[in-house]
Amino acid sequence: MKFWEMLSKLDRRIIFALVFLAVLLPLVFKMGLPIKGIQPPVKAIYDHIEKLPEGSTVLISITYSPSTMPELYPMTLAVIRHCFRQNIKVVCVSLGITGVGIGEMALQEAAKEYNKQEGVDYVNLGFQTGPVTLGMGQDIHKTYPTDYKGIKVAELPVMKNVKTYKDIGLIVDYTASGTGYIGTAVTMYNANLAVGVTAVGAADLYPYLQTKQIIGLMGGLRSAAEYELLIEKPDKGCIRMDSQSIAHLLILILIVVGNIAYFVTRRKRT
Amino acid sequence: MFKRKLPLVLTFVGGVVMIMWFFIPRSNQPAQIFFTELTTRWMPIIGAFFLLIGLASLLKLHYAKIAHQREGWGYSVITFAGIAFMCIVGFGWGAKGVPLAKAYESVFIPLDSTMFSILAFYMASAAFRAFRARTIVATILLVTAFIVMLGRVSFGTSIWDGLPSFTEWIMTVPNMAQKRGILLGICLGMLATSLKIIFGIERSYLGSKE
Repeated sequence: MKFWEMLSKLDRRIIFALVFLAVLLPLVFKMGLPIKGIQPPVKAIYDHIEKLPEGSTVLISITYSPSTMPELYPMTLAVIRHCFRQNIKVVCVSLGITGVGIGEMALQEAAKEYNKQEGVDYVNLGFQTGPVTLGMGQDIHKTYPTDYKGIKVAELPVMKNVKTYKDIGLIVDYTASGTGYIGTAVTMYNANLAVGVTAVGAADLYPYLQTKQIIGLMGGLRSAAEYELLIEKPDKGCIRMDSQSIAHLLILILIVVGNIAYFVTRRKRT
Repeated sequence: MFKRKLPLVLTFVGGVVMIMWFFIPRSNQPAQIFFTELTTRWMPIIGAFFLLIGLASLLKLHYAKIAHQREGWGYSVITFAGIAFMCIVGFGWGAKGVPLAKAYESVFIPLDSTMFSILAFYMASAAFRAFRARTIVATILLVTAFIVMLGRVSFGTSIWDGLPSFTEWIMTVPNMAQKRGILLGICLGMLATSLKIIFGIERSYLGSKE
């Protein structure tokens, strides 16, 4: 009984140390835990991009800050890689100022691998204040007169035939929580939208998935790992899944142990 | 009189026009194009003022902390130093410059990620201390969370092959039903508040005396 009492008063610093080790060790000693099965909403995004003809355009929207990068960056990179593999042009925008650098990093990383040229195969339009999701439905060139580096958008070959949402095959919005494209791009301009979101934010977006307002959904690191497997390029998502799996296992054990300790000590008190 | 009536009239006209504009199908009519361009031009200007007000407010708060040497004033000095550093790097070398990109990659990303990652430690501690099956509702929540967490990780399929599919069912049926209910509730609340503001029933934005 003393054991359970002691356990129920466990110092939080011990829990912190356990979490630290559960996250760190799988990253150092790679375990390669299997990832079986692909969730249908993830497969739907993959299939949509597969069906897009060569030379079409995908809009990548970065609506997250570095705080959620461990979950969202792998899926951003995976979709950009997929587009480049299919010779699909990528236009990147950021709905938050802190997302500009993330978009640039992902584009540069993928462009190097697939030998893609900036301004011809892809562009980072950067950040713009105001109702950009609305403005892009009317005229992308007016909403973003210059790209992230100050080059006039009208002069970029990649933007030559991209004026509104009608010229975009798919919008993929990466966000830490909700998406701002449903009320504007989807409802007002009938654009195709897919969303990449943190695992905790995914639950909020399932109603839009059922109503087909979004064509696909990537929720959390597992979806990123699944997408990496779909494009046959396992990378950060798959590596980090080991760490996340062990951390989840630890939390599950803590919940079970915490409950046993609670019920044993409560019985003793009564 | 003018100070009270003018904002009310502007709010009414702006609100009604926005509603009409949203529900009329897109047809690239000159009036629609004009209104879209007007809003897309105005909002960045208003946004720039927000940025200035935010920055001024932040600097004022931290200056007062340093001036009175309140608890934790050292962090305020770091805030000033950080703002000054990013301004020098940004204005000095511009957005294209390597220093800004390096500052972003080597300082901002690790700091922002570190702040957020602290959540994992608190969540684990809270799960151990507070996530108890005290009532039936709490037990349902606990069991559901347990299944969804297992279904989302690599070893979930080792326990049961159908676990990911069962997790997906939880997300697409019971989870979605309650989310839709919450969403409808929020939207109805927003609609009611918006109508009250447009018709001048809710006037708290005019000042405390209203």
